[in-house]
Amino acid sequence: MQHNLIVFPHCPKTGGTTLKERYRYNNSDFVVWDWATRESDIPGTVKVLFGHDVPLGKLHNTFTDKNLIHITCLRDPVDRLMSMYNFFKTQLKYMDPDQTDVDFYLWFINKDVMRPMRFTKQYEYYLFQHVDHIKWFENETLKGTLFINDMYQNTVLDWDIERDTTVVNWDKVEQCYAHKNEVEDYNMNFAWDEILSKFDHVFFQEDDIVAEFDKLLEQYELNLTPDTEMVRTNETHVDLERNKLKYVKFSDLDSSLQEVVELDLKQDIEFYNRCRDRWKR
Amino acid sequence: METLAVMHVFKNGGTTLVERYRHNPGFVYQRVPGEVVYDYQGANHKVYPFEFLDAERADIIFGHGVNFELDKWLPLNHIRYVTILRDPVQRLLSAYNYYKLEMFNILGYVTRIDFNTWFFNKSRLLPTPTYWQYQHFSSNEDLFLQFGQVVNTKRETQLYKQAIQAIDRCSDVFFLDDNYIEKFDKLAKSYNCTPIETVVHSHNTREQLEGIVNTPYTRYEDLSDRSKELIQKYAKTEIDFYEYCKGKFN
Repeated sequence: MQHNLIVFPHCPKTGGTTLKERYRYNNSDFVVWDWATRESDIPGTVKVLFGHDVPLGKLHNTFTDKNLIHITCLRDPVDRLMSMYNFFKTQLKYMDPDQTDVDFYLWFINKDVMRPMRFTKQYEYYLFQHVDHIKWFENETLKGTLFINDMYQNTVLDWDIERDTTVVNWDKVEQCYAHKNEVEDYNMNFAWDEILSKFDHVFFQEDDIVAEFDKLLEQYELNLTPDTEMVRTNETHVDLERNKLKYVKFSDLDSSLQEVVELDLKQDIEFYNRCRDRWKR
Repeated sequence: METLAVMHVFKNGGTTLVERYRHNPGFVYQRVPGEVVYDYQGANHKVYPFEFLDAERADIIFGHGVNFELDKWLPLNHIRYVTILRDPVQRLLSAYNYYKLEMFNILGYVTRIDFNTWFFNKSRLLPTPTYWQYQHFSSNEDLFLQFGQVVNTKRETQLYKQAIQAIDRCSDVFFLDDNYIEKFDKLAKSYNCTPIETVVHSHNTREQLEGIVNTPYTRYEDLSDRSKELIQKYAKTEIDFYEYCKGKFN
């Protein structure tokens, strides 16, 4: 009889830290997979592989004696983006108390490259976790990534000679958006067809994911001991308040900013909605 | 034909010289490598692909896009390469304030980004990334690794060496804090160009930032001790480059 093994890639800012903290300390068979993890270090008795760096597309070759169950958690893309922004601000403070704040728009147009924490969309996260993603980009199975940051490079800026200044050419921005949509539609569909649609269970951050995860552990007869007091982590609000900073909500943004956020997240919203249609009870 | 090629490093006072000299018929402005502008900012300004550069009408070629490739394109001209450098710390502060101004001027947005966050991300932040001066003479690329608090020292050393080799090809290097306008005027005279004497300052970043954007101009003395430590720690190669040039050209 094959033993079950839960494979849980933890997409950042979707609530997974609570699950990780709930189980990691009481159970040696709950393995947190981070950048330093080597497959050879994983015990044969492993019951859950959990973490931001869990690879996809290769574990069936490694754990041939296990029945792999793929689970993950998603979050409303707009909420997640705002959460990332607010979390980014706490990370700045954490790394350096002198770092005061960064305003939303500056972060938004630079979020794909800005340190200390870059932003990826949820569908991109699952693509980038797949062991074949580099090959897919190289052999053009996937279209090249196009970040919104690229759009504000010189490609969309015009030089006004008379004023010796640089201005945004909105026609070029529109062309870039058209191209970006084409690329993102393709890559998102690929992420759905080849990766996420093959998952066994998908949670949604706004639900009681602790109860759902506990229930699945029972269903798959994976006997793990939870830290029952651990039901909520990553209190970004609290961290911000401690630093006298406000949690910025989507409704705090002006309407034009809201519009560009939704435009940028178009494919991630579609990806999320497909998952909801499939898995939301 | 004699040509003076001026490599304009970002935030080093070049715009003032452009303003003083752009009215001269033989003044060519080269903002990016691929194109040149005649009668820059004048009534008849014209932008041409670089290949259309007129070797006979190129007394001064000036701009961010000027590089040593001119030798190949103007094989019959005798080209004298020059540049202007600036105290690295002063330049860094100028670039930080200018970034805030550019966020407003280009994107219409008032930013309150702090110095340290800008510093670790300065080579990536749009709309106006900032690189070290020595990178202008080697390669404009991001040198921070990981979360921005570790530098790719191997690459940094490579770029520094390339920059030293490149700057050694310059005939003159002027320094912003050392009568650079006067010194440049003397040189430009032998290239048939005359200045507009009244132009001695441009790019009023402080004035615009405080007056229009309503954002305070940050001076070195306004920075926290931590920010000052960061500059000392990470600007070492840049300072070495500046000191090398001071020693060689001043």
